[in-house]
Amino acid sequence: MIWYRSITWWIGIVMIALTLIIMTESAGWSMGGKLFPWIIGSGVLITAGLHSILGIFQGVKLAEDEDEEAESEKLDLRRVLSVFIWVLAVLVAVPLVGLQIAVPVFVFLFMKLHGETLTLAAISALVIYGFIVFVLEDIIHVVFPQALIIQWIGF
Amino acid sequence: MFRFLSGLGGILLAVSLLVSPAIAEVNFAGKTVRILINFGVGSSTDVMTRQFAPFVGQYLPGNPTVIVEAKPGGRGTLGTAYMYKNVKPDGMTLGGLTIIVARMATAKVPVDITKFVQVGARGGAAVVYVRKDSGIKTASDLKSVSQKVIMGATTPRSPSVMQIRLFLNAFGQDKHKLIAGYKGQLGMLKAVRSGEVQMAFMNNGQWMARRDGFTKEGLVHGIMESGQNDASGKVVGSGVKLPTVDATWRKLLPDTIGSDGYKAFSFIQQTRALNYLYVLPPKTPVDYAKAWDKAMASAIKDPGYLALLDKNSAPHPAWTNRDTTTKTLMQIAAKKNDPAITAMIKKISGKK
Amino acid sequence: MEDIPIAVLDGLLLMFTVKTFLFMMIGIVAGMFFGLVPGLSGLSGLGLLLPFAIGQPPEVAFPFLLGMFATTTQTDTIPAVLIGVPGTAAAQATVLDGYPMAKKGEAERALSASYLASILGSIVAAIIFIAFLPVLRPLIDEFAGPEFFMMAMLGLIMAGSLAGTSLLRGLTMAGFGLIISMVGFAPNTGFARFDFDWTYLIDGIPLVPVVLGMFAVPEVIDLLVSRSTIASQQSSSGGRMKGVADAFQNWWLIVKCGTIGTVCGMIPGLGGLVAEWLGYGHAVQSAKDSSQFGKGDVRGVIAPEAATAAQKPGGILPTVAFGIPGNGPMAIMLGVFLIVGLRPGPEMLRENLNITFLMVWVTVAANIIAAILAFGLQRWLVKICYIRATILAPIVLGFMIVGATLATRDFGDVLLFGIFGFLGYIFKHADWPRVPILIGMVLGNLAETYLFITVERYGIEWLWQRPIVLIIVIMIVLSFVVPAYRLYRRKQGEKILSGHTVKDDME
Repeated sequence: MIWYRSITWWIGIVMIALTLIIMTESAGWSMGGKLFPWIIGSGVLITAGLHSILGIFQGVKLAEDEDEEAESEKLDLRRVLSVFIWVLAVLVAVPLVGLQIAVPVFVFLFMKLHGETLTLAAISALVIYGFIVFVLEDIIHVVFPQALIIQWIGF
Repeated sequence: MFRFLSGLGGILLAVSLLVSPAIAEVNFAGKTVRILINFGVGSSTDVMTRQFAPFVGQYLPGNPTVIVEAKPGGRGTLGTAYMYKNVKPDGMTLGGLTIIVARMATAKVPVDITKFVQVGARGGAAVVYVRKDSGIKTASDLKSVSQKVIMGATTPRSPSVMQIRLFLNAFGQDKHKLIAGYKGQLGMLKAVRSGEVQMAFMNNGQWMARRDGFTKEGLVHGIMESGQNDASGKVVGSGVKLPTVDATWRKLLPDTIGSDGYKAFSFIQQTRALNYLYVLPPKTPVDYAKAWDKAMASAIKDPGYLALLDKNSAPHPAWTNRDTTTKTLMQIAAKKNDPAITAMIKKISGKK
Repeated sequence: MEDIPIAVLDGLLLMFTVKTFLFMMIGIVAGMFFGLVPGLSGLSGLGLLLPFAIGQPPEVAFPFLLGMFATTTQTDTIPAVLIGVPGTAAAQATVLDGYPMAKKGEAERALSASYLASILGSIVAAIIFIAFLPVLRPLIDEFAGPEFFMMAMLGLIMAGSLAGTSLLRGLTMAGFGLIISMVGFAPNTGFARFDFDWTYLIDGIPLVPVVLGMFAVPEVIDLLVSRSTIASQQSSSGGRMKGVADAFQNWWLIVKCGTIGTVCGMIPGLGGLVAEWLGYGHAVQSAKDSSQFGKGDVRGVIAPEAATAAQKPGGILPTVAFGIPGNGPMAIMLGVFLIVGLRPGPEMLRENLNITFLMVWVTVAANIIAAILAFGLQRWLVKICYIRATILAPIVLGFMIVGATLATRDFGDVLLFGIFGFLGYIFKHADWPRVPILIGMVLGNLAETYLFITVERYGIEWLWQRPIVLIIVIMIVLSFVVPAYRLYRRKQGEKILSGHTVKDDME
């Protein structure tokens, strides 16, 4: 792996950038306000800076991959992407239609489309629905946020 | 799915209700109503509301069960915003918003609290206490004490802190040093105990529950209390038997009464009567507000409730009704624009 | 105070009255549930059970609530070990070694060891409580700004020892955690900062969605990509008894971590999360061979569990003695005191001393009872590790989203969960350690608050004038020197054995 292409190295640069933003933002504040951001910021600049500099000269040291799966993981980019899309989809769906619907539907669809039986998918979805609605909402009175769609149409 | 359908049904019902001119008759029979508070479970507000809630139910039409729900965060602003934006205006959820009027007066609140349907308010007061070894026995010692008084605070922007600093500044700028950042009134108490600070604040209910213990231990004693304004605007004691800061100021420094500092002090003082503001969400029919107002006013005088307060030696609170609350709130909102007051508050609340 | 033995016994007997015991059992079962479900915790459980406790006499109300509160740290280990997701924040450190153990087919061993460690940890705390009660009060009063600040520093130094491959990356991540902790109200000025004018962030970034996102999402994704099961090896037989034996073999570690936990409980404002990380960090630093930590060392399960369990009885002391709660849940207990008409303060250590000890006993008993119940369930629970990914992963992800939303019940939680899930995935695969972020987040507020208070109030003299500060400084120095010395000795040994130079080993 060539050093300047390593994501690991670039994360260090992102950290430096983030820290600089925090420090510039707080520069004009009172002593009590900026003391901590500046002390911590300086610390991060030193550690992340050293990491970046050493990375250029020595390369970025990584943990040895102990799992053999790790190698095959890298090859299967399509699968990674498809998993990411599923996760993203459910995270978008939850605020839109509400937890009570989005989560069981996700569980059902995911299992069904990944080759599990209809019965198993349906039972799993029902269990999680029951947990949300009967246990959390009805028995212990958790008030979940209202779905955005309902907020838009209704109140 | 049922939830979703019933939600849709609810919307249809609400739309049809908006169309029909009938006014809902207030009756909570067989229902569960809630008081939503803006501080967490276990906070003083929570303890007070939980003690009070069962008595309120007795006086509401239909005698519903009253439950308490805490929506803490952002020093009371998150619960307030939730009450404003997310709670249905059906009269079933009463917001109990602690210290939010003072916040509105001295800082920023994300929603316009004058737009709530006001129900009424309950006053609150703070006690100023000091370590005995600080050499301060009574408030007048503050004038003569030779060293700086070290004062603990949750934040420089808390109303109690602003008030007492305005008062101490009237003696001269260098009379005190502020150490801010403690977690709540009990965090301050911890700091007083360790000797880190000499002076701090506690609300009157907490103070009364602990006073005997303090007396026995002999480590701290109270020197003043904030008191609260009565309906005529006069500052009266809250029942903790200590002089009010206002009276002390008038007595010790009569010639500074016209100053901007005192003006700002009185302005913050005015919010104390509305320390616990009770509201319904905007657009709630007024009849609900009237029903709640009536029930709260009766419950606060309920013999059972007063007996419970006596058990904790807590002071008996006063209820400010809907009309007076609305009027006072409007006054505060208007005075907030007074440049002299704004400048003073800005000066005393520190910088970001 | 001279009546301590009588009160100790009276408190114990009080626990076995029918109504008290019954309510305690209900509390315990509820607590097991709140611990098991990620997103729910002892704190949220107390809020939910509180209405049922009101109206009960103190000797019923407290066992009910404490039974619940004490058991959450028993069952929160179960998801931590089995699926790598802490049931409550107090099991974050347990994940580090418990989950790798499950992957190796040692889930039963990890769970048994954790139950036993919790029981023994709470017993250590009870003994300290009873034995040192007369002298603890003045000690707690000695703790002020500088001591709090140094405790936070001690915890942050631990972050360095948990850094993984690169110390620089570990420290940077601790800094990143501290930066995250700055979002919301600044403790010393009262102004909100870095909140993007979003009301949700005004109170800071909540820990639960971050933890769930950063640790659970990468696991779920990897599980789905590899299409395997969590455990790659068959369950090793006799794991249960092995775990019990592990706990007894490491009794000295439990005593030490139990003491750390008790102290963290007794000092108001430190709390369970600090206890947990100090316990884990201590285990790593004091181990002769620390190379297996993070890869499934049973001591990495025992140490944090003993510390968090001990922290709970510890937290009772300042609550009853001064009316200053030792941790968040104890603040709720304090509210219950006032509601049932008990006065916190010196009289709880005189007239009502038996109630105080009842509270301590309940936390110990609850740990034991919960462990017995959990033992019974264990055989079935560990099968989770052998369910195939396409069934387990969507269900786990679903529960995680629900759990994250329980934090503040706002969709902002879901957003944070997603953002930190993405970051967690990248960090995991780019070998940036995620644990120091949590330590930074947990300690950030404490460190910032007391850094300012200390500087403002004491200037610089506090560094050499305060005995407790000096003790902590020595501990910090030791925590650097001892592991470094051990590492040096080991490298020397390896060099002799293999003939390689140290430099060769590094590359």
